[in-house]
Amino acid sequence: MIQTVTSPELALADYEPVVGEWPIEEIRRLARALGQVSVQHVNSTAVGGGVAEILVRLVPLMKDAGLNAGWNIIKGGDDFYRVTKAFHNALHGANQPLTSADLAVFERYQTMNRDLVQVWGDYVVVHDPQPLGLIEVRDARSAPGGDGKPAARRLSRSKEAARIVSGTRWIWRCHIDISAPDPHLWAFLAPWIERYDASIFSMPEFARPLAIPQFMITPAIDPLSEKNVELEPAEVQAVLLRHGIDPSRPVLTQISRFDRLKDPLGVIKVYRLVKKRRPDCQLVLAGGGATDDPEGAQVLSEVMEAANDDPDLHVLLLPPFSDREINALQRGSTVILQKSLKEGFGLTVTEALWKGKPVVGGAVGGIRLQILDGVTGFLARSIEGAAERVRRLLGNPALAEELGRRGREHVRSHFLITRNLRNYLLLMLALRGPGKDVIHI
Amino acid sequence: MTSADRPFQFYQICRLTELTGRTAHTVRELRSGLIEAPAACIFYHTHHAFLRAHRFVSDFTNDFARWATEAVQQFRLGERLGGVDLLDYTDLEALRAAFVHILDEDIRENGPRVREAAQDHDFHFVRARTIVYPIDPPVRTVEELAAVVKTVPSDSIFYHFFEARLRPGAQTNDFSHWLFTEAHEPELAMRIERLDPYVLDLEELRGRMLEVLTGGRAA
Repeated sequence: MIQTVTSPELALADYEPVVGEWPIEEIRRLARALGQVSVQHVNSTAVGGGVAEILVRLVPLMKDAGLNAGWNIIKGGDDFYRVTKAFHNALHGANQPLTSADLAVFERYQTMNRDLVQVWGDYVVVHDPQPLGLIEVRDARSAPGGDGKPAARRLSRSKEAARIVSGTRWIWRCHIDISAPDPHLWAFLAPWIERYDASIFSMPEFARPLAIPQFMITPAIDPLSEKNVELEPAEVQAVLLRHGIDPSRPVLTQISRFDRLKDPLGVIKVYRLVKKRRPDCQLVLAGGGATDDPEGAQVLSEVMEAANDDPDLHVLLLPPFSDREINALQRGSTVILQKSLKEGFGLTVTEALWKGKPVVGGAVGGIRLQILDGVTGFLARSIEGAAERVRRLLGNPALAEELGRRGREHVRSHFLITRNLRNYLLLMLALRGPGKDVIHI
Repeated sequence: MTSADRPFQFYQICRLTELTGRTAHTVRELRSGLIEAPAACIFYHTHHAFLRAHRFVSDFTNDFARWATEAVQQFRLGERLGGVDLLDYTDLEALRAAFVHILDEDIRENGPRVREAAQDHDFHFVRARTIVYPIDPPVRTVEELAAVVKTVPSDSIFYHFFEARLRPGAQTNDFSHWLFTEAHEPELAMRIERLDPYVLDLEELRGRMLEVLTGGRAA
């Protein structure tokens, strides 16, 4: 049997004070229109990473909306995860040599999980490439001479309308950027992907042409989770003091892994430029997970060397499950930086905006969806540009407050877990009316 | 208080963005994409900004103009695409033709010169799937209409004002249509019709409608 994840109980009603009455009523309305349906999420891990972080909140909220929702984890050994990590890099376009033995490992685990999995959902949402091959369960069971499921489940690939005939709908939710994948790997995975009824991407820029419908659903944060819930000022101050940060002076913060693509060394250069004019400012670089990542450890070492024992430059290597600590560091900051050179969606930006903080972010990936330049924050394409914007924010608290206020409203409208839930409900309804631009319920 | 022949039913909409997989890297590719894209794409790229809280992010509300300006740095082209007056159109094919015409002229003026987007700034053609459902009890009088306009979600205003005008054969917004044909209030219908939704945000539009419907008492 594959693992079933038990999620905490959450109530949509608790979100009403945050998002208002109407969005919650709308979710209930859409769920009622769907009726008694079951939604089965499948991914490869119950803890760690953005997918698990979203599912642990999304699944119980789906249940509270009236759906029979659940979450299963496929089985995988070290060899499988080594291969899927390589897949991840190759899908991002990295030059990642993959052997036929690697592909065989992937296929072996797909076969194993197909034997273990029990498909019980009316909608099966498969997250990322790891469980991709589960789709064969549907086709195998719907084929003549299969396990006796109605023939109506058979797949026709001629048209979208014919594709979704009845029975289980399979959705592939891709959380990563596959716009420029390794072509050999793509040729290996695409035949599976294109057997799904629909796919979901976080941004148009992350997708690529497919023979199946592609929808856009951005990731989201949970305003009531430990990482985002409101904190008492005393708790925020205590966390800052515990790390030797002076709450009475400006604090610039970047929360991210010690990864070259997050450009922590560039952030230090930004800080040094700002400090020439604002000698009172401090920098916090906080992240985790570097110790078991050889490149991360190397980047951390370079960061420590660049910090050069500056007493106002705080490099914090946070242990896992530091969500409340991160929350406090973000809330205690004057300006948040996310000076990424390449970025997925950038949920740390969402978190900072939600806390009403002015954010200066790199003009890459999902940061561009979140920071509307000069409206909900500032985008920067260089160290000098980022430093100038930080100085402007430090020198003009009213501007910083206004950008922060608009940033919070932008997140409230688009990037909270309730919006994410609503979009899943819309997708499920849209799949009932394939090809229709407008569906009346 | 006169009761209308048939009531006005408010609807709410929810929109889910669908990717078409079609992109444009050059001005010429934008033109060919515009010609071949579904009409729903034309509506999406010219109207989704009006559903946003922060609509004045750029000088332009349509994505074609914004892309030409910000991604391709073609300021004159951007200005011309941004200058298409959406209020002139109650038909998406005519609107599509207006954009294509501007691109044709621009391409002719610029000859074979390739004008392309900055790296990672290709244009992505997308559309929306819209779920529609009725909200609030139907209303029969102008006073009841005003009361619901005051409280209804702004997406509903969008649906009855912006989407309605571009429905095949509609020609006008749902409010003006109802006021004219069912409530027999031609003057109010005309005054609502004269509002230019493309220079207002949805809350401003709601306010202007209430001014008209209540004779200024709700301002």
